[in-house]
Amino acid sequence: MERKGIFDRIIDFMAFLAGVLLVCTVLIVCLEIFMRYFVHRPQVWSVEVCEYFLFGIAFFGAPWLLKRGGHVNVDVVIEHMGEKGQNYMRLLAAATGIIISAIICWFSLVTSWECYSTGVIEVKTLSVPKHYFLIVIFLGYLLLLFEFARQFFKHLRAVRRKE
Amino acid sequence: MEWWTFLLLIVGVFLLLLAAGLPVFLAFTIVDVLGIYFLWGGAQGLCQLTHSIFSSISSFVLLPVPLFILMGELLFHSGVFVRAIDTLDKWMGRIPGRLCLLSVGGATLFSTLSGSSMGTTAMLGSLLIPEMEQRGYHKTITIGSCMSGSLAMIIPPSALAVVLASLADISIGKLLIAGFLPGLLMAVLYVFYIILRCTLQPSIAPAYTPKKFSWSEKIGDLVKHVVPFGAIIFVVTGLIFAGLATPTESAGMGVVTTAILIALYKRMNWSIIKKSVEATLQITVMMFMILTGSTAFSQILAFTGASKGLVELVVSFELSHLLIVITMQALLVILGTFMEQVSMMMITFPIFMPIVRAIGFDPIWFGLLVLINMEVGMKTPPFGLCLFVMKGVVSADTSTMDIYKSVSPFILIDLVAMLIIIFFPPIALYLPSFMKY
Repeated sequence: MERKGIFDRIIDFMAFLAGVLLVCTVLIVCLEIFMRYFVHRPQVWSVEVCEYFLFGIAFFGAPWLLKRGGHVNVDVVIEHMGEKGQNYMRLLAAATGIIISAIICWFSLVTSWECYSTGVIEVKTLSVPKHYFLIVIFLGYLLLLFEFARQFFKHLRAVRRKE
Repeated sequence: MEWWTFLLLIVGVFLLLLAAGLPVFLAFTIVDVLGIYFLWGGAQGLCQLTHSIFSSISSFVLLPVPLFILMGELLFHSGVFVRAIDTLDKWMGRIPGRLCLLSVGGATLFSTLSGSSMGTTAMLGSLLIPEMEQRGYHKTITIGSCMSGSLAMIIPPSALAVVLASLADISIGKLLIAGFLPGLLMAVLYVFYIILRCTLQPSIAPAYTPKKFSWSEKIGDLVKHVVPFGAIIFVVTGLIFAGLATPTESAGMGVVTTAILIALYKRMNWSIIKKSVEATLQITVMMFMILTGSTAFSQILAFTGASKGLVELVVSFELSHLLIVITMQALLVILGTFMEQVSMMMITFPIFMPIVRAIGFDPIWFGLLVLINMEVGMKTPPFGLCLFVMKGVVSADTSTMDIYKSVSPFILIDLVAMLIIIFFPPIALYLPSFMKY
């Protein structure tokens, strides 16, 4: 069995959290139905918490899915290239991933800080400081950045081996 | 710059990034970042993008998506549906293409319980293809018939219908229910095709005499292994139709009913829960990460005037309205050959939906046609997700070309079904007409 590094452990733990959020979402939806129809005491927070969980599921699970190659892509064109061409295209994809992840990381961090320092609050039925959510985007994209970087160096090694 | 220059630039860059093999979510994010940076005043605009990423997916309307998928995955991984297929098998007599018909019947029934096409296709393929091959069935008919698992996308519950309705801003409950009759119509057309083909060409599905079973055994099995699934159909489709539960509530209850049913069959354990949650996460995260770019993307299209310009252009044509709808659907069929479903909707809906509303068509009917189109897209080579699923479960000597050949007649049937629904909208709209919400 392949030995897991600390980074893999973090990614897997985040995916585990996403799974927990998914199960909690099911439980909250059912609790809400029970409270509303049988106890006649609807829980106002349930809708909102589930919305936030959905958001959490996507960002906690995204780096894990990237590691597993589960983010869908179109390989019709690159399939027709030679092995060398394919490696270069993968290198390019990973490099683009690094750049875009870095951009989103930076701006989500800046926006989080702005929201934190000016005290912006996401007001629905619950009032939650906005930076809590934006920092999740930062965290998700930071891990995506690391994963793209890892893939970049993997493909770089493959390209060098061929040369 | 003119609006059409923006449109060509945005769509062109996006397609180029897709062709380069980038993950779809990344391609959207790049277009968003570039579009926002150049159109909305640089860095400040990019700060807005992070807010838009948050608001795109933290939405209650999307909540049924993971739940519908989880239902199907639980049923798939627990294997409880295998007995239901066995029971259907016992009820079927000696008819041409018997096992293929069994797969269509199984697919239709499973589609009323599962919201994900890929799980249904994988289950049918892995379950029935080995037996079909053993009975001497030819690949030209076996693979295509098992691909009817993609009906899960149309027959409620359907995860993709929820995404579609949320992107098109139409009633989720109505769109889900609208899929019921068209899904059955497609299943019936598949059955006709299989019987006709196997009657004309008996060598592709050699007839055999199935084992006989007593009526008491057949009825006993039906009550034990098929009827209980009615509880799930009632909780999900029944309650939405009756207006007693929202799609989210019925999806939540659907998951719990499914779990209880599996527990009653004594098949529930941690490994099944873990596998089902993992598979659900894979599909959900993939879809949701693509959706993170959706709000910004449609805002960019609107901001550049591309959406408005194209709508005005199309409406100004002296074309019949029906022809406009057919053209839009044809465009989606072409996009579906190389694009993934959620992204197809994301780039076309900001333009298509205003056109549909402007020319006065029912958006539910249009949404349903798009849903069938997405189903076709799951099966059209080279980029059909169900094709990849099927490739994973067929025997090693089956080439990709075998799969393409087998699935093509079924794609034609789907297109015929679309035409029938285009000319007879009540097939889609009859059931939703009874619903208030």
